[in-house]
Amino acid sequence: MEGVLLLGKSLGGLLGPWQVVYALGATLAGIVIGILPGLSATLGIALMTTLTVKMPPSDAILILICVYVGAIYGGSRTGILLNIPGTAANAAATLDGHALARQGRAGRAMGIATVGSVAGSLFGVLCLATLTPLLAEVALKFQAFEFFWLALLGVLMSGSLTGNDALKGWLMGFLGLFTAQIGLDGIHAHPRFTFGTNELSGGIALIPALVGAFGFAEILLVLSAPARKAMINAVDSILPKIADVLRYWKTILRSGAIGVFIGILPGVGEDMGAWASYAAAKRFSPERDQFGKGSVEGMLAAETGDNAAIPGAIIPALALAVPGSAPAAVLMAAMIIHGVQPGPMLMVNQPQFAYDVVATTLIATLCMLVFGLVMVRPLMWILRVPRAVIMPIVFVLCVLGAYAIAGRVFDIWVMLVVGVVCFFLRRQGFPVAPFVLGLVLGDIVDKNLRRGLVISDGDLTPFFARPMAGVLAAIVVLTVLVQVPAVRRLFARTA
Amino acid sequence: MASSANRLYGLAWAVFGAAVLIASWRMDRLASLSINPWSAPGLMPGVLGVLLIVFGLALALRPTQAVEPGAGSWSRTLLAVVLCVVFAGGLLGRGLPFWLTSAGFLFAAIFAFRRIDEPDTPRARMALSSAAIAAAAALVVSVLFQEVFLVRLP
Repeated sequence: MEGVLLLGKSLGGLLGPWQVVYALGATLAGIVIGILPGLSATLGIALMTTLTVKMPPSDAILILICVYVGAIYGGSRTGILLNIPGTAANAAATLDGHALARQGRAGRAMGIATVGSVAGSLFGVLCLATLTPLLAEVALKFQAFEFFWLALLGVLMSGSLTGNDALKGWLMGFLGLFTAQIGLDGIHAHPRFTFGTNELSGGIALIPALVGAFGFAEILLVLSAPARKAMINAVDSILPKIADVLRYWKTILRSGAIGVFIGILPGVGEDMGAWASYAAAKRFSPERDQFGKGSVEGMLAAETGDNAAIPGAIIPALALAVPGSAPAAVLMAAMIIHGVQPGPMLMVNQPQFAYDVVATTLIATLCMLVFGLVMVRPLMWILRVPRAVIMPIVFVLCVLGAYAIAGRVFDIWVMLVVGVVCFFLRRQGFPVAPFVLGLVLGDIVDKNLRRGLVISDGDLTPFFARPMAGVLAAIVVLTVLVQVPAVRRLFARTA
Repeated sequence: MASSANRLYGLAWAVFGAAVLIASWRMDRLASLSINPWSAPGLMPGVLGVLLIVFGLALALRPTQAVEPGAGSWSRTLLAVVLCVVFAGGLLGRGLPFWLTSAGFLFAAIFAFRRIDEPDTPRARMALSSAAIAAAAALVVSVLFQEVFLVRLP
């Protein structure tokens, strides 16, 4: 009952005229970011964090969540029309979305994307409201041992699942963890890897590094590849059909549940939410032979799954301070910048904030529905703007995004160096998302390893013998072992 | 057989890990402050150094197919890197107004890449439209950040 009252209060606070303007503007900006191939939800949130740094926390988080929801939704447009997913989360939806567009049913595909995204997001909001307090209560029993394993698990799972090669993903995760160690250490304020420079003593700031990894590296990737002409044909009716919702309600519910579950797993993210939902829908569908050839059910499952994963990824970010995805990691960093400390104590110290996030995600979903219904054709024009025009302008925004939070030219150099390094690594198949998770979770891993060892006086037993720590340690070990070919063969033989 | 790119990158990761491990080992353990030795600042970086060595060597020695590097030409990459680094690293923060440097960068980048992507468009027309887009974008971005979002420009 107390939760309902807090949620009502949060919703009331978001219905002011400025808040409505912020929500609509930010969702639209998010959709545009999602539509543009190369620009991700992570970059959108990072850039908006810079712009909203002087705003009250509730308004800033409203804008960031609207950008997040809008970007994941907007990416489906590009997938349907160009066969290029606007964000990684829309790759699964592209399979059937573009097939529908080739059959002259692009409008229907966009309508399905809207239905799936709104349904997934609403399901996720419900889970966000109910599961966050429960998870936070469980997490109150966690000590340094559990937090160490949980943060390490986030980095390793992100490495396992966000690229095509787990080994490369883990190396990127460790690079992120190492990068987070640069600067004054969190316990004794001793300088690490600073080479006597003042700039490095402050550490590698998260936002410039993120803008470099997701912005500058992506700009280089797009500009280095030959141009592809946008093929946009006439679009049929974009109004979603109620019949689709009624016919596939089981798929929607299943995909929502899968999306939220995948979202909650530390470091996994929206793209896996979409793929897992798509795979489950294909397995249980009587029309499975249509999947990949323009299946309405497949498209619905993928879009429901990726949008349900958004609130899912926010749940552990709020309750455990361990984000479920790269965009949620940036969102969590933005919360910290605005003076909110996510983690188990959030529900004790600032319960209203958790419900502000729930209400904000609900408002973002409604804005997404509005733009999904009324702005389809105008937004398609964005795809006609040549990338030779868009990308240099995005780079100027990246420079400002890196500079503006601290006003240091050094941060622009951080963005440039991280961007160039990530560009070369990405060309060799090293994924960037684990690097971001490592960067965000590096401080938690470091402090909790050392705190745990101090508490146990160097004894490693509590890291494995405490019930929850033992379970998490086993999952960490299994996450690594299942990627070893010999172990996989053994599992396959026993199965 | 390990692909040569993976072997090279794997060895680079291992060397980097070794450098991190050595730096961590040599880091002050703050014994003079009588801290608990398990809270030494070099502990976590040292663990990461070991992990980077182990996983880097695993990548270098793993039998695998060659990686297909992403599509893209080196000349386009070099052009993009040079333009971006000269603008962001070389020109900003040296006293020139932001709108002027960003307009100059935008014109150079838009014109250069449009010339490659649209070889049939007349050059004078392309230069004019690129200049107009660059000036408008630089002005809008500068005003938006400085006046609306109250962000200090470099």
